[in-house]
Amino acid sequence: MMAIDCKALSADFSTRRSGTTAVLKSVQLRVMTGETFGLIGPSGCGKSTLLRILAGLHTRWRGEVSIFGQTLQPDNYPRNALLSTVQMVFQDPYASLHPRHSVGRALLEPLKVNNIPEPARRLRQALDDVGLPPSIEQRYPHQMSGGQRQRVAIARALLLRPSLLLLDEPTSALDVSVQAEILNLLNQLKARYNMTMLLVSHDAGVIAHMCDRAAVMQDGAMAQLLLREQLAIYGGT
Amino acid sequence: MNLSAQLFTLIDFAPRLRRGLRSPAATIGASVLLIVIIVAAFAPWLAPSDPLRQDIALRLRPPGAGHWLGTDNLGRDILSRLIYGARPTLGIAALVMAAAAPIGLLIGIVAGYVGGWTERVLMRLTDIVLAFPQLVLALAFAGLLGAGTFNGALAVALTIWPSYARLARTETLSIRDSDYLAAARMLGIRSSRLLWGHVLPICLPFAHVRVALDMAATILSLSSLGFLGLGVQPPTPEWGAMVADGSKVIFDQWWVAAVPGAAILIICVAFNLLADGLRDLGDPRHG
Amino acid sequence: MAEHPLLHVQQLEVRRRDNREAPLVGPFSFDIGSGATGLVGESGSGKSLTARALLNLLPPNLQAHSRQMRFGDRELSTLNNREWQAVRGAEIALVMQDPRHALNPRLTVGEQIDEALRLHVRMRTTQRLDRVLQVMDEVGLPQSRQLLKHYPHQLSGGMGQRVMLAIALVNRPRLLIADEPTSALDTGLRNQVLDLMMQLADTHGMGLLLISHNLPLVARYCKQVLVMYRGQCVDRCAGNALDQATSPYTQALWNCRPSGHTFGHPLPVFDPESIEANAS
Repeated sequence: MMAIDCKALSADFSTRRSGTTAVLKSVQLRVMTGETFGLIGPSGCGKSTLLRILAGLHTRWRGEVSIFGQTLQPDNYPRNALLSTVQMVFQDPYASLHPRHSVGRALLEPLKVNNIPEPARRLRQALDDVGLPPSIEQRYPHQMSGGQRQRVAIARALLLRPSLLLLDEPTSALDVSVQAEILNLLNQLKARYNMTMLLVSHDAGVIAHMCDRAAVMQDGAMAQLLLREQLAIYGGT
Repeated sequence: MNLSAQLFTLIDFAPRLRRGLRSPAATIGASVLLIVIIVAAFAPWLAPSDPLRQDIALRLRPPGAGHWLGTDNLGRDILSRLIYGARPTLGIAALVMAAAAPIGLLIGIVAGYVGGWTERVLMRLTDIVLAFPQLVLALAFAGLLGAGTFNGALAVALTIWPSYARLARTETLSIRDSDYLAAARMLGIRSSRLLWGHVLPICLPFAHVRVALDMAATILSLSSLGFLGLGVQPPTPEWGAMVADGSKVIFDQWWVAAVPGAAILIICVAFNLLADGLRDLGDPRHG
Repeated sequence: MAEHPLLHVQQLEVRRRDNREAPLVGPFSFDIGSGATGLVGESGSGKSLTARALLNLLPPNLQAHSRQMRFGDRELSTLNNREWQAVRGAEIALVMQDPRHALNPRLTVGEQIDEALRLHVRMRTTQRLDRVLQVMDEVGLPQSRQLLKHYPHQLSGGMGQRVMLAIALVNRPRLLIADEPTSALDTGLRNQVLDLMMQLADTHGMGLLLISHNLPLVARYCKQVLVMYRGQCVDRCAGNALDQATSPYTQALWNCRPSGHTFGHPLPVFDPESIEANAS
């Protein structure tokens, strides 16, 4: 089955000052189940918008989009049906964790809201999955390093065991050494939970290291599709 | 129980207190308030005499041995009236805040988060209330509701919620598109749970500061209402009403008005210091 | 290295003012000569503090101390605040990371470049304007006369970075310190801006201290490189020898970068303890 299938996907931003600008122009995208697909391009090329449409966070679009056979509507995102299908890890771990919630609270609340049995055990496992000690439960975001925060954000995204993980520049705010740890972690978790991943990055090295296939985006359109052989040389040394 | 527990974690009191002690302004303000609250609580034991006992023979005595702060025009002991008067003055001010701040926060958060027509209607309503001079509006409400302690408090509360609504809306707008709210929505956390557990904690620190600042203004508004006879009814001692009484004889027996006036001044300064301190603590750089 | 380096720093250290803890940075010594010097390290390594210490721009709770800080034929470590004012911006200039934060949103581009000039030299208005236009031309800002009247929010990221460069260069400094000058830019723009900086440093014989977390970038542009880790300088080598570095930390930093060749393999992750043992 196709994990993501987009046909003629267009989207625009409208602001009062500058009117409407197109961010996606009739984009076609197919991601197979189980692969890691990369989107690369300069800032403003529309790659993040594409991701946010799939996450249901951007609602102004036209075209056909389906995720694991489930069709999306611009004004009606099937949130309940997709809760354990699509989750997202955001770019900036400083902005994606609630500043006033402890790690324990941030991870327990989704489990409780979705009536998942044995939330305490699941919380411990989620922390264990991302290599964090149980004692971190009491910490608040400002008491953790960037790498720890991103681990918490990944643990949170995996709480409901999604089959598709959207990654929006997950390591661009981190140091290289921490980036290496996070990328390794993502690959481990992908194998453990059989996930499909859609990775957005502006770093060719990250895309080349992570992805089975990738698309280069330019000005809101797909400029080039890169297969594994091309990716091997794409990132340079 | 659950609600209060949740509120308690929202305010996370202990670390706040510990940090609060590091801000001298907040410490001074809080200590003054604490003293006043203790005095108000133990009024029957602390007051030298009955605040309502009149003794015409001893009227308008200057401060001295028998009556430390003098007596008023009915010969009542001003110190006793001041001590007893702290109760309604502070109590009503707290009541006003307890009514106004939640209303304002609710309206502001809903307006900011929902947006669209809801926001327009709620914010225009807020602007309309905000456009009237506060005291005139409070007078109108008090007149409409009838004189009395509770009605006076309600009247003032109805005039000050808009500032909380504006504040909460601004804060809510600034985080509406934040990644952490997006992440919460993606995990199935929505509507009241999202607003109460995720948006409100962001607005609260600002609201704390605002409450502390508004307390001073509220005591003055209540005093003005009392002064005009629309607040606390005589003979209950209330600082605003005491100033009103004293103003009739202000040129000859200045202490009758000056003593409760000074008490209002001190409490206002205390609240403002506390607000200053809280604002410093709310600053993220104070970690 | 020339026998007379542009900046010679001996035993520089940065401490908290209350001074109970070990120094946050250093002590370490280094020279900055002609050509670019790179200062690399991850966040918290002390590279930005080092740069601030060289400009006497540390936050008030920190204090820098050095046995010697010789700049040309001047000793900087004994300057008072007023004397620093004359050096900073005129002889040693700083380019910061993000033009969106470092430029004043309420002043036009022209005003901001002119202000930097006005602080340090006395010139007639027309002369200053000529100088401002000239420097804008040097940093490759097109149609400089119209751009003078623009506000920072009307500029793209690359243009904003060029404006910051113009502000830094308008007084013809002898040393330019660039603190992550390109990390807010896309890859393409990044190279343009750095190429420009290198070329300007060359034509004006200006020293350049490039602070970055990006190893390949530093390797490509810098003649010598200092590698910092937790406040210590753990390695120094030539820029083009970074890939053959012998220090375990530099090696680890170099090797943990993802690329097409590492696909399917876990990236090497370094162990802080072994590095610490090696550094001390």
